[in-house]
Amino acid sequence: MMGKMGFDDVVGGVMVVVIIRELGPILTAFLIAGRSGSSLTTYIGGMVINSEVDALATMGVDPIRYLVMPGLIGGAIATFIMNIMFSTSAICAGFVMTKVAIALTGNAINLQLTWDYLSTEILKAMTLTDFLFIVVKPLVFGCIITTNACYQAMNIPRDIRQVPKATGKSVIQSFFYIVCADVFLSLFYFIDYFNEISKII
Amino acid sequence: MYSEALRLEDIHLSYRGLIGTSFSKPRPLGFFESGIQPGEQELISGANLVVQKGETICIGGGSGQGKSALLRVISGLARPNAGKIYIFGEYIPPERLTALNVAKRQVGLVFQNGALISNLRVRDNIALPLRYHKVGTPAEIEDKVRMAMDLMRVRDYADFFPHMLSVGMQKRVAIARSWAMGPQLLLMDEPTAGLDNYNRRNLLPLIDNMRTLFKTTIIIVTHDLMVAKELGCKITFLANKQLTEPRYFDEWLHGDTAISKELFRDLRTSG
Repeated sequence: MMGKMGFDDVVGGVMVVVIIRELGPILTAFLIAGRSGSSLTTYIGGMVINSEVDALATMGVDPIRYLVMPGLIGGAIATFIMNIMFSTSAICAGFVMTKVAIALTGNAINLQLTWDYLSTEILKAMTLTDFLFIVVKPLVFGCIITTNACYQAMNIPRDIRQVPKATGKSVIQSFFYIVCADVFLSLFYFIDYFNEISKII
Repeated sequence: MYSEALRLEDIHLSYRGLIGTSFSKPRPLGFFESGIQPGEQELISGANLVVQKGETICIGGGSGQGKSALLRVISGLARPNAGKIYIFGEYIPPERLTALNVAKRQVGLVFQNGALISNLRVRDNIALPLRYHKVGTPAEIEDKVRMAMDLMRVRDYADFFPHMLSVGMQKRVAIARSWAMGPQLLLMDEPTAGLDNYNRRNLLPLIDNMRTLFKTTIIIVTHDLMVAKELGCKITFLANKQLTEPRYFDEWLHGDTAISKELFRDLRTSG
């Protein structure tokens, strides 16, 4: 259909821009913030309430080094792996669903979609910066999520009701910071887009 | 060589200083925070204390007087609004008075609730600070942990998690953990509360051993005044937001001050 409409050569480009550049990193970061960020806040918040963090500090064990750093490193790596898994499964699922749709409609629209075609188009459309940002974006997001989660947890006053409050705060603020960081990182592409536009004009 | 283990000069602490954990946060510049604000309620105002090396001292007083808060100040967990703290003769400026900095000077604190790390077994709880600071080889650490567990009689519970233990057991593990670090100055928050008579009687000789064998300076916060009598140490009371002159148990018992009349009344009548 896209061929009929004259969009033959942008299939890969659209996939790269939508899934690999934007949706993949952002959605994985949101999922990780909701699942792991909140659990990290509750975990460290509980330790603060039980004065376990204080106990660590009085033993000379730096809570930042003992509690926050493993979370930070693990979170960054996990977000990176999750991002690759998300992008891959999004593209694969899209392909499979299209195939199912074709099979159900008896190929009414006469579409010849092959995996070979799709993967070559995507790989063709990917630039070096895309490969770079697949690594950089999730790492930045992972660091933001875990740092924010630990920061919120460490600042809980000795009051058990503050733990759910801090958890909510940590998730919502993580969302906000992720979007801000994404806009900031995407500025790089904007220069690219503007160059393309000015070329056309 | 300084003979003083701890010197507090004119410590002021407001309720604001107790909020949150400030284990490593540097104090804001004096420009932003100007000490005591007018009309602010103070928990401790103008406490002075000098503890010599190797000395044991008890801090008594009614509940809510700020005994535990004073220990938090000494261990760097709470930040006093004003006053000077010297640990082993070294003045610690307020912006460096953090728990990590104080812990570097071999000060240990036993919390009232034990404060064991809840996802580690008893064995690992005791070994945690040793492993973190890399005190010797793994075999040496294992030996030390076993010794600490033997001392506090928690060897049978080495593979238990803290939530499986009773409060008294948790406290014994916490004391073992502090002991394993070999602190020069040990702060104990209510060590005998929650312990039965048998364990209490075991704990007191242990404290006694620590100060004679390792020359540990010990500060005990307690409402159990008999501890001071059995250890034969001086008691100071936190009353009217200030610390009184340290005196021996018998001096307090037969003293004529308001505190000794109020707190030792039962002990006097029972003989």
